[in-house]
Amino acid sequence: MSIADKLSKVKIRRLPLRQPAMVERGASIREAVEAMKASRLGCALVCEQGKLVGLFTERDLLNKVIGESVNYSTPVEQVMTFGPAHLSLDDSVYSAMRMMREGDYRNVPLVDAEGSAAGVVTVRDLVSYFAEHFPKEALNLPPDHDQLMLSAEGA
Amino acid sequence: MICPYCGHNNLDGVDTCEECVHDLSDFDVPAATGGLQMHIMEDTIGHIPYDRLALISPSDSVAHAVSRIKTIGIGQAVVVEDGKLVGILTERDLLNKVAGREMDLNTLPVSEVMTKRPETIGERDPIRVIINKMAVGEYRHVPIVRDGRPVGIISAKAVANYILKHSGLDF
Repeated sequence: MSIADKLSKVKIRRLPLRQPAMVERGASIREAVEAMKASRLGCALVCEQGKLVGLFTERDLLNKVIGESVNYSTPVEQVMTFGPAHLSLDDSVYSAMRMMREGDYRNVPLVDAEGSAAGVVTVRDLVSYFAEHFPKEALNLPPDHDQLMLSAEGA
Repeated sequence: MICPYCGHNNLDGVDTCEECVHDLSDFDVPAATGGLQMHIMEDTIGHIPYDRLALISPSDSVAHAVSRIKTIGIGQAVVVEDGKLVGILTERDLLNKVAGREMDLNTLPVSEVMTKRPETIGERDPIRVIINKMAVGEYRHVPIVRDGRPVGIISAKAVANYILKHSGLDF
């Protein structure tokens, strides 16, 4: 299958996505920050009874919180993006790439068939996917790509 | 690997033929057949648009660095000393080391928060190298250096957009 076929046919749910950071709508910025750190992701999904209502990202943290007179106990909904662009777990990898490019996003929240918040796909997930599609070209490189082995490895 | 010069059957991955000592290192590299594969193997980092650089010094305050980053409208700053790259200050550093903590950002130096000696790439490196570095090292931004001096920064988003452009789907 060509890369074009794969990108348009493979569903986002097939990617090895990380467990998303999720907080309830009434959560504080501090709780969102802690959830993002724990999940090692750059955004937190803000939910109300399981439904996605907002997205809080590292960019929001940088632009609206750090260095500003905003307390970390402030409700996250005051600094999040309401009703963020999102996709379904069953949308294609290609649709995620397009949405990221057109919206200039690094993270796209995902919902399941019932519309409940179900995950997030990041631009790094996409780069890892390409690397796996081209293992010989992109993954099988020495730590230093200019490196030339002077002697055979092993005993 | 069969040596194309003498036919000797070498172990896979050897750089020179054990029999005739011909250089085999180029035969390990897969041949580009066209399309996206050719682009990622033969195009260089210079084919991908660079992000603008916010340059700061390790002794600058985090407050100053954040202000520079916001003014330029990007997500990270490159830390230089005597013109040479010594670190990078990213949104992830701010999330992990600054957010939620009681710190005076006006006195906290960048050197205490930045990622020291970040992974770098050269303008003439092929694009497959940046895909490798980002996939293996989980980086979202990699500074581009020329003789140790930062000349740009490449983001995972720019790499993804480049791949989309050459995937055959971008019409």
